[in-house]
Amino acid sequence: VLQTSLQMTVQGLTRRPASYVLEDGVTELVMGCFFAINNGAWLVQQSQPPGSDGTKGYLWAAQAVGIGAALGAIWAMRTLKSRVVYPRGGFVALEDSPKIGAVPRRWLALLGIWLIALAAGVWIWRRPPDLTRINALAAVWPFFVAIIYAVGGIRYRLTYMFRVSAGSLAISAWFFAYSTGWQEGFRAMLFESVFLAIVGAFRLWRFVKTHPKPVEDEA
Amino acid sequence: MSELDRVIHEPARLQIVALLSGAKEADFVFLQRETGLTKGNLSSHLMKLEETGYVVIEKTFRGKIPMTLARLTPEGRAAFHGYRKAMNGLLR
Repeated sequence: VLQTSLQMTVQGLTRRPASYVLEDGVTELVMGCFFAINNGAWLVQQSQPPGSDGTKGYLWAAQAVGIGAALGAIWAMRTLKSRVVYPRGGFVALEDSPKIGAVPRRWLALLGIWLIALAAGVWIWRRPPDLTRINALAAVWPFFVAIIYAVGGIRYRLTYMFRVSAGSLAISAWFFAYSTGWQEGFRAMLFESVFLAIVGAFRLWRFVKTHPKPVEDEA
Repeated sequence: MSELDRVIHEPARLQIVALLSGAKEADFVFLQRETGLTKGNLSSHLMKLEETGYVVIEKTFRGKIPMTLARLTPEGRAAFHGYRKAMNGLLR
């Protein structure tokens, strides 16, 4: 019993920096806002009648909004971390995973993209689908987020990640059941993004409540 | 008990080293909040770990705010790994 409890205490401490980095909700808030703005812009673009004069302009505008939102997300992440999180809970930089770090990440990413493209190519070649009728495509993004959070929950032992995963799975299931085709994908992504932003905002609010700013300057 | 590293075996220092082993580096505020130690206590334990060569302390600035960063050295990581192994062996 003593061995187990000591091991658990030490193990819990070694895992604490990783869970601390995730507990402030900044990632969910910023990424949720970024994807919400981005998908909102594409939804507006999509709602234009095809071939109208404004369609091309909206297309450019949606791309510009996407780039602006990406830059804004980087700025917001840095600002929230340095002005809200670090003064209250402290600063932590995590070690890069040696297993992944050993192989260049870009090669892993390229391999992943290539495998997905290959699988999609084989599937289309074997049974050409009518993409406009595939409801499942609209549910892909929330499902993807659900998987990421489930894996994160297991890895970091954070229960909130399982709740986010369950919420994302519910959004995915709803769009799988009721969407009318792949075009609803932007709407599904918008729903998922707003959900993530709300989760992030709530967690950041709770973090600020539970981590008052130290009164004195550090030693 | 002779196998155990006395520097790490002290409960407060074990907490500090265990926390730092899960990170590349962490600042004073984080370590103080997580360990619950006073500033003076934490400073003296960090100094002890620095003297032993297990931790590197770096005084820096994030914007205009002063920051004290602590990082485990490779020797510190090896010592912590060895301590955990020795502790498991003793308790088995």
